[in-house]
Amino acid sequence: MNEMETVSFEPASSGLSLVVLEQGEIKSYRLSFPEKLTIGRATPVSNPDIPLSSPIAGRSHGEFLMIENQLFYCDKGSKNGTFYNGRKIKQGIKKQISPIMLSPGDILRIDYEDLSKPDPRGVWMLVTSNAIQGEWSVLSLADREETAIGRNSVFCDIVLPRSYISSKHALVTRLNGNYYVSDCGSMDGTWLNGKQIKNATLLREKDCFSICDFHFIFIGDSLVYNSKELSCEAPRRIEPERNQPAAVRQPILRADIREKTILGSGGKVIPLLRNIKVELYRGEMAAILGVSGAGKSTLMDCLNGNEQAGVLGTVQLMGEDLYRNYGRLKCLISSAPQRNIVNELLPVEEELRHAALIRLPGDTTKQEIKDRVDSVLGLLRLEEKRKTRIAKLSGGEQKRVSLGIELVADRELLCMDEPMANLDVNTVQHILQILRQFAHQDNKCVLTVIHEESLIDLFDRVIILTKANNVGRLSFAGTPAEAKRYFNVDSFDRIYSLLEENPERYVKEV
Amino acid sequence: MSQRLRRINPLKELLALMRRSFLVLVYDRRSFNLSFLFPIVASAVTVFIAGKDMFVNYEGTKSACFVFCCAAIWGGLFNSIQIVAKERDSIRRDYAAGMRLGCYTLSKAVVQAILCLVQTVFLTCGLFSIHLIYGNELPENGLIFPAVLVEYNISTFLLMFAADGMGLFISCFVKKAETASIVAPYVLILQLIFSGILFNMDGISRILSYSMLSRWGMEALGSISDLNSIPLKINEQFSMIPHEAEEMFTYSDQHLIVSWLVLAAFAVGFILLGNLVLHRISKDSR
Repeated sequence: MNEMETVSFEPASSGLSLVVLEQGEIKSYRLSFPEKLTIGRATPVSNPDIPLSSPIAGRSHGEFLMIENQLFYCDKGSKNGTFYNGRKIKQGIKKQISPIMLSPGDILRIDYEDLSKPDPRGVWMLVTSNAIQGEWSVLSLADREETAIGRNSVFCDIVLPRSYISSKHALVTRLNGNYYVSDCGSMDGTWLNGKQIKNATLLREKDCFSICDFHFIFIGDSLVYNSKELSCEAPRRIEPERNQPAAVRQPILRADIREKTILGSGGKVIPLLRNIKVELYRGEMAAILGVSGAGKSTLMDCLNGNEQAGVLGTVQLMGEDLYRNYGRLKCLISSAPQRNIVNELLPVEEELRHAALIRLPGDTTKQEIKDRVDSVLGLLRLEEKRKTRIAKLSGGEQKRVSLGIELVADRELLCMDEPMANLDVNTVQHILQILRQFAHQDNKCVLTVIHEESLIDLFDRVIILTKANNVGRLSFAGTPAEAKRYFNVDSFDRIYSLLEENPERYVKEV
Repeated sequence: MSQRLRRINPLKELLALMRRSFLVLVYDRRSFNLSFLFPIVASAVTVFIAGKDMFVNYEGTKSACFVFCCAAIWGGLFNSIQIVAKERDSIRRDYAAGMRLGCYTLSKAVVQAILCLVQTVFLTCGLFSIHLIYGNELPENGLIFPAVLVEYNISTFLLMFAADGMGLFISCFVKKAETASIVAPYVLILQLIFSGILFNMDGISRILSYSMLSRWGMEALGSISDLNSIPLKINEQFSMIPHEAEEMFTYSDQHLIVSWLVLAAFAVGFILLGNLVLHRISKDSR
């Protein structure tokens, strides 16, 4: 008898986690699938994969399924049902319940009928792509009248160390035994259960309010909040992510674009991109390369949210659906234009100062603006030219000023579409080195479309597109060194030649 | 797409944009110098070409007023006709970042108003120069203010600012500064032709002339100068020939106030329209 070959079974991982909050306890589960994951009340006769203790949950309440690489939840006809993003999942004919497709940021709840009066024994679940085990903290609100959340470490109780967060962004106030959340006239707003709030709004059990990509869940008399960076004492600067082991790093942007189409003349649907999977990480500079017409600019626009129509698939930023939450998340992205858009009459410092004034929260002090401008001038190596009129700078220096306008905004993701056209290679190299320093030191992500093959080694990650049947396809995604091994070449100009000679050969099926 | 991000409060934003507009004005040395040279030269030209008979006879006074009027319109229009179009890319970029277009337009209008004020003083110095050089006496009293020079200044300022507003509107409307430059001469020609001074306006032409800044500017300047009372040139020899009064130059405070209000309304209207059309900027191709 021949020995049977055995292959170790690796359960499919969705890359998603489920945060479960019930009765004051927080747990999180990685959604890895042998076949499905069941969720329900743990009893001597039931043993669900995700056990709950709430009496409102059924023993076999629901299950999580992976269908064609997409996560679904199915309520198993439970007595009290499941709420999906505030609405009860309805039973169909013959009490059948269709699976619900889940995305990061979705909230499932198990409770009685009226969510406006939630039961303390109810269950709250958040689907997230962050590896957040053990990284949720609890702040008790019981002993304070007001809890301030914002950028300022002096008068805020929860400090969000981001320059685009307002100094005092939101306030949680206790009044007559109830808690209210209000926005303090912030730049990016405060969102409660997916809707932006204007006035003080009552917080109900398990309500979730968000400030950019920070989430706060109200439970009992406490706030439960995520992220390694937040602190009630002082802001902590986390170690640059690129120094962390690859296994624990979470992408800042993850895209799975099955197709991107536009409407042509006569209503004909024209596909531009197909089957593109991209992952970008903080602390890295990434390049989009490809043959002419492969869809590099189109891909860039899809990834930064500028182009959402006709996109079939998902783009996740900081673990959340970018398109669905674009109003809240777009503050994390800046896009530098291709041309230099500066007022050449003004001095460098004045132009950057104006850019900071427009782009940073209104409560940013003059000193903070000055510090931010000084920091960017230092990064751009233009300190000595701060008083010089932009018209008197060289082309490369003017380009740096144009980029500086986006850098003062201090966003998490900087997107640039061929920003260095018409510049010589040495100047481009110099600017790329500056951007690389920005990405590495400030733990940001820089994404650019570029053509200069000789400079690709400056990048941490490359996304190479090819064109097959007039549709842009992914050819490779990885480091420059891996790209050379993959194409079996010594230099990138050789990769371009291979793609141009036989573009369809190098389509990567994902 | 979702609502736009809110940044600094509107007043702070307005002040910051005014500062920037002022700096742009000052740093553009060539334009800045021309802005002050123009009214000086225009004033000098008016004095030497049309000043001799100003306040002496009807024709001389009317011509001089018309030259002042044209200079004010020309100066105002060219102050602003390119200023927004030149910055269109920057405006679009800042608008996408959250800048309020209303604050931007208003900041431009305020800085232009200050510029017009200074230019008006230079321009109306010509009137005083006429008195100094030729000994011609200005009207003794104004219609509203005791000093007639105050009324000349107000009229000239309002006319210049209304023209500036018109230039601002054109600048907001077009996408390129070159297009604005091409449009300017046609706008000026229309102002000249339909002012009611060079040609008699009847019927539709008359109605059209009421939409011209030049007409209202002339009505104001003509009223203040009391054109209807100044004798005709021919009256030097034939005093019995009557000088028919023109309704356009009615010597009354009400007529002057109406002219001022219309010019102010033009100024405000053009600025508001300019702000409105500027909101199309997000549709510009990238």
